[in-house]
Amino acid sequence: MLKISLFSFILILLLHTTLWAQFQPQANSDSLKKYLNFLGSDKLQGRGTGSPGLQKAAAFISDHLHRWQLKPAGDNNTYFQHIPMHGSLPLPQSTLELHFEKERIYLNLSDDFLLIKTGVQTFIPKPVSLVFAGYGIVAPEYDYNDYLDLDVSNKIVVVLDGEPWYEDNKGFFKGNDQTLYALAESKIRTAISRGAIGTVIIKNATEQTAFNWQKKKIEYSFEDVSLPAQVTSHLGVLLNPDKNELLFKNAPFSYQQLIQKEKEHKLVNFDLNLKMGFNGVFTHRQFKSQNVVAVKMGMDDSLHDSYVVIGAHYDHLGIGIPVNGDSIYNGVMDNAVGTAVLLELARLFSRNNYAARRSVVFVFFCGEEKGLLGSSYYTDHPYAPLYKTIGMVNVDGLSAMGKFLSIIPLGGNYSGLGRILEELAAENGLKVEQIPSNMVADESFNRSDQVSFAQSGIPSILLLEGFLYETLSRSQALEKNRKWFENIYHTPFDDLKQPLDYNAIRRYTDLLYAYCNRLLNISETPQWNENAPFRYKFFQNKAEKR
Amino acid sequence: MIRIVLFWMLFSLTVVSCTQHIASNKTIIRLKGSDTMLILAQQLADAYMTINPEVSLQIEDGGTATGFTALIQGETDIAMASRLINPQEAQQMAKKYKSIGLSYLVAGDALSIYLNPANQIKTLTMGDLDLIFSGQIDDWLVFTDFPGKIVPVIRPVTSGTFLYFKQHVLKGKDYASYSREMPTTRAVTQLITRDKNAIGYGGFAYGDSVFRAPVNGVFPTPQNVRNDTYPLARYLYFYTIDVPDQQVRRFIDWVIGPAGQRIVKQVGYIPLWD
Ligand SMILES: [Zn+2]
Repeated sequence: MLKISLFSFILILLLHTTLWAQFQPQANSDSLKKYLNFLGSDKLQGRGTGSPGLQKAAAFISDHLHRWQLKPAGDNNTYFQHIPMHGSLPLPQSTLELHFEKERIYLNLSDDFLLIKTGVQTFIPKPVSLVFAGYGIVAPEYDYNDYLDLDVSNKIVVVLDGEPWYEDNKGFFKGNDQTLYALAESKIRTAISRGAIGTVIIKNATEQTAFNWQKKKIEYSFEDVSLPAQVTSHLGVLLNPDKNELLFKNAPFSYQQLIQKEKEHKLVNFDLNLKMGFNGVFTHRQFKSQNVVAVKMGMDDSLHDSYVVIGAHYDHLGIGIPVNGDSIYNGVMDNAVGTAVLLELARLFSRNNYAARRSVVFVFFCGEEKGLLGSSYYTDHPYAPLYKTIGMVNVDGLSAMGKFLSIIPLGGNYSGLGRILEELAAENGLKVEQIPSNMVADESFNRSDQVSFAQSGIPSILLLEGFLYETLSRSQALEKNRKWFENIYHTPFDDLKQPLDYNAIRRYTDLLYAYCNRLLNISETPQWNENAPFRYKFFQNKAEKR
Repeated sequence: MIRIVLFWMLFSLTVVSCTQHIASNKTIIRLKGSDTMLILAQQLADAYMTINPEVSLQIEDGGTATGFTALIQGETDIAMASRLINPQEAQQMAKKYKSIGLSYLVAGDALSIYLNPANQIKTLTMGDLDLIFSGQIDDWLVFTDFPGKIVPVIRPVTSGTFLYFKQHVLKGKDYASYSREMPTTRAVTQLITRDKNAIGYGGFAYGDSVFRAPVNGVFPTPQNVRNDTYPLARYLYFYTIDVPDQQVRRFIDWVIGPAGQRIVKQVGYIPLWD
């Protein structure tokens, strides 16, 4: 009797602790502060990929992993997974030449135009004809084709930025939400596939803020870095709107007339009766950067060979064009804070008295700001085979505005990871909300390392703090977030001087600890939902034992 | 977070191609293309097959254009290229595979000007080379005290080096009509060692038997390529249609890795990742 009642008492106690211990204080605010103050400091020069500052950050991270006796999971029994990279930066003497019948006009880099994915391989010795090709989009699912009956081989296409947009017909493309077709990179790929030599992107009728030239100049001033497998010879140009009239000087329509046609949805293709030459001067280099990777093996006989990856990118933009005299882009919220959170998680999971059933891999990614290079390299060269990796949890960017009462699971709708999170949230009185529709473009699932994993078939998720706060109204929180993206994001002001609530960072870390702890211990393997676009890849990995 | 979404991610809906051929339990990886890369590829293959006896690498030259054609036809797994894919080739590939290809930087090269060691010329400018190969100057007397009808030795139109030289040195002009066309880089150097009036070009690694002339006063050396002073520095590439399957990827990773890059150096090209 006594035995049994004692047993049930312990059982109740156990159940109770497993439920509520999930989201109890574990993380240490002082540790988080210490990591963040180092990673976000000017000493690290903004942690640009391929810079000494990033090496310092890598050493700092690996020192801690070593101190906590986590197993190295990089190359040759070290914490570092070395990644070959190619860097290229256009020099100011690079020019575009416009060849009119009787005169030549030279455009200057930065003031007049910017280069997209264009490097030392781009070479146009003879001037080439320009042809207007609408938005430069071929989208069969919307029955839309700007290249219909248009031969652009060996020509340079001039295309409008963005995508077709109807005020009255929001069903066309995605209405107010941008599709991938609107991206410069999509337009360039389409142009390449049609045989074009170059693509010039110009402002469209509806854009106001998106074409803020001063911001664009800064955005494109950083070194272009790619993996060795991503070099193209295509000329990609973003034109300063001041030069639009000039570009259409000899064309059948002026730029203003063209814009009028765009508003009326009567765009047509035509020759600009103008040739363009390009004389690029670049510095370029090869170097190696590194992901920092560690693992703690699980203890369960049947589950220790399955893995959960927790990741955060530790790179940022580095040194760039000074704004108000500050040239260091510290990237404190993007993503020194995520790195600090991941370090603290590594410390918590490495404790001697902690044992999980599954194994956990900690990956600190480099090259995120250059196009998710570190995470796509990792998924190509994973520590544990992809088909044994059951899920990936990414940390990229916090708000740290106060005690959040809701969360937004980016990617939660694609897989069982979302449901598991909802259960945890419900147990802890947290609301789960969807991302506000006007923010979809800013914080899309495609914009950080989790998408590399999803693309490789691994269910992945990024948890954001929601907009319900103890001390802020929802509209205040939304407004703060909007302002941050407008004024701080990717500027030198994302530094340690901005207000940070360390209790909020600790609370977020505790939540993530509870969530990952659950993933590491449940028997269930999170599955892709039926509608998830990444599903087929999962089955492919399984079949090929990748 | 990043502002722009990744280049590689877009339209990557094509399923990974399975181009491997299993014969007697051996994986066969086919490489075809650039003649400049032939000796490099052969040595890489020898070393790789020694440590991976289950893999057989088949190397074929014929020029960069031939390599791209074979890649598009599905007749090779990797195209070797001494230039990037041109717009027509990219278009063909996109039509057939919905992919614009992946290029891998494999090595650096100082595209060298070959002269007969007996030639009095000790340096040439980019302008000189333009005049010589386009046929605007046809006698060595312009540069030296000794007359002699200049014999420009070029590669066939399928060669990436032919095109690279035509674009970068001749600025798109045609080669002199009396140029001698040689099928391989080896044949170019052989002709030049026999004829003191001949001048040609090709990969640095092939130039041991001839004089590799400085261009604009700069010798074609690895150092001068690295510090960007040699004017005819270029990359050598591998191309695949899409993300290759595991065996091909493993080979390419190995080539880009320390072991492969050591061989790049031994052969005379410039390792990119030491
Ligand atoms: Zn960012």
